Amino acid sequence: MLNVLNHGFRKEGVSNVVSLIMIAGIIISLLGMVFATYLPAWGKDIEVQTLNGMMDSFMDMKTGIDTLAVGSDPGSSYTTKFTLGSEGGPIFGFGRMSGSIELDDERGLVSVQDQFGTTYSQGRGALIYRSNTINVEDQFITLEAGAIIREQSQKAILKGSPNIVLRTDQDTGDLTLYMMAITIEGNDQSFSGTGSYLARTTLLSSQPSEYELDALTVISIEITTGYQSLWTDLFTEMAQENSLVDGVDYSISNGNDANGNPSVTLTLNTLDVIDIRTSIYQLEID
Amino acid sequence: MKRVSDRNGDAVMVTTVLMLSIILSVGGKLVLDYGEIVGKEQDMLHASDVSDSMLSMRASMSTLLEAGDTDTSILNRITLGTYGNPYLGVARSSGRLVYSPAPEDFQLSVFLEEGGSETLLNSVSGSLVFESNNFYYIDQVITFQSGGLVLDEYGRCVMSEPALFEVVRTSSGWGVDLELFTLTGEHWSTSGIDSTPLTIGLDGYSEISRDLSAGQVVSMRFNGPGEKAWEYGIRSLLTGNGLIENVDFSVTRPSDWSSSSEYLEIDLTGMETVHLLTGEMEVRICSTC
Repeated sequence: MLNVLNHGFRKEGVSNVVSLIMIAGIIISLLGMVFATYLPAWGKDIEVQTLNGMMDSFMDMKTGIDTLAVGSDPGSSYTTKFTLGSEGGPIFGFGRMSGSIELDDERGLVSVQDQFGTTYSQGRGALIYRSNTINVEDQFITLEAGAIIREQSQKAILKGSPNIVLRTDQDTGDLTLYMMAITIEGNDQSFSGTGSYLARTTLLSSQPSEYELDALTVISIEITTGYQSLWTDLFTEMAQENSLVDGVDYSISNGNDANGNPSVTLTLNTLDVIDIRTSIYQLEID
Repeated sequence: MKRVSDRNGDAVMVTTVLMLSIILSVGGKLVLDYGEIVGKEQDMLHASDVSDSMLSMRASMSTLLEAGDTDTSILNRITLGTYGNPYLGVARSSGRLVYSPAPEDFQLSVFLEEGGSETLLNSVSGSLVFESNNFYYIDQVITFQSGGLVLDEYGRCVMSEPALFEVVRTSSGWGVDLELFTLTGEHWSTSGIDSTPLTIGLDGYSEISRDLSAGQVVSMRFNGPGEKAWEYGIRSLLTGNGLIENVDFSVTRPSDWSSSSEYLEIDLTGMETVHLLTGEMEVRICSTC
């Protein structure tokens, strides 16, 4: 009895309670640190890696589109894997995110015309990815008119150049427009979730054409896009690289296409040659 | 109040502290060991990914060259680093990509020799170099030289992927078929972790085919870093196809591998035909991306 009681309470019990409280304190501190610091960081890392993987998939698809246009017969195809999201990490599924991918064959219209209404080439079709993230800003990745564009926080940057090049011949001084007008056909379809889908791009036709223009012909390249500022910058850079004078050799205007959608038009007053490849693809996503 | 100690309570406290120490030690050891394993794996996977990207670029070059398409460009990408393992916060590594069209960085010239005189058939130059900055695995340098990939680690070079050279049987001898790439345009470099979009374009090309007579020798001369790798790579290719050294081909090594004035020479003595398809390739980094 002397060992058990002293002054009405049990000392062993006090020590055990103190130990338990200390252990609980340490565990709660560790958990707090994990929740406050590590889990958001892990989640952010997982989301960033998933979004980077999606961007890589878009680039791989563009590699396939370019390659098929150059060296393949109609019917040849290229398959790209798109992983829309992530199941998240093993702890509480942190970093779980989803996304959706959509083929819209009415977006990304591109048209090359002269002032008389003659159309030299046309393209259409856009592949759009929208993320649904928790720890980082949502991203939109769009493949339109051969360009890969990433939008985040309402700022768009070019991640893959379109196949539109202006080049001045050093010997003759002739200004040539090299361009690939891409049409991506397919059923308007949309997939969402965290899973992976295979996108098979099949070349239907690829036709190169070359046109020599007279001095009076004015050529307009109109692109229907939600990224007017980005395309304006791109066209400006192309013109400046060839020492073209704004208002004299070229002009760029933002407006709306025939359907009322926002568009950007590059007008070239001194173009000598159009070297254009019109490529049509079928896209199937399974 | 009399201060009284409880030995049983002390034991519980000591046990708790010891247990926590053991758990933390085991956890720390696990993170360190597992982190190193994961880190090395990530670094090695990344090196393999870079090699695959360079091979994809070569395939794009080959596609453009064989189609003779100087108008279209093909988008490619190279991932410069790895984000590593997000749970351990380790194995984040970066890399640097350097594009150099300069002949000092690599040059391969193909001559036709006969009776003391020689004719230059074609010459290609330039390299695309990836240098890793690994956290766990040893640093590697992977170099693209005229379609061949040279891997440099531990200061030793090996040809990890042979160039597009082919030795074919003709009716009564051998023929050699070479697809060569020379790099043109501006020098550039970039570094980081993310994928870098690269645009491959064909600026020009040439094709040379010759039927050779007895006594004519096809001489390939290599100069620049990676010469040793080319020696072993070409030797493996030739002997693998049944050619015998010092009968069908001979190798002359430079006395000083690092000298820019000396070169590695491989002479093909028993050839009946030679075919060279050469592309002038420009690899551009997207300036607006």
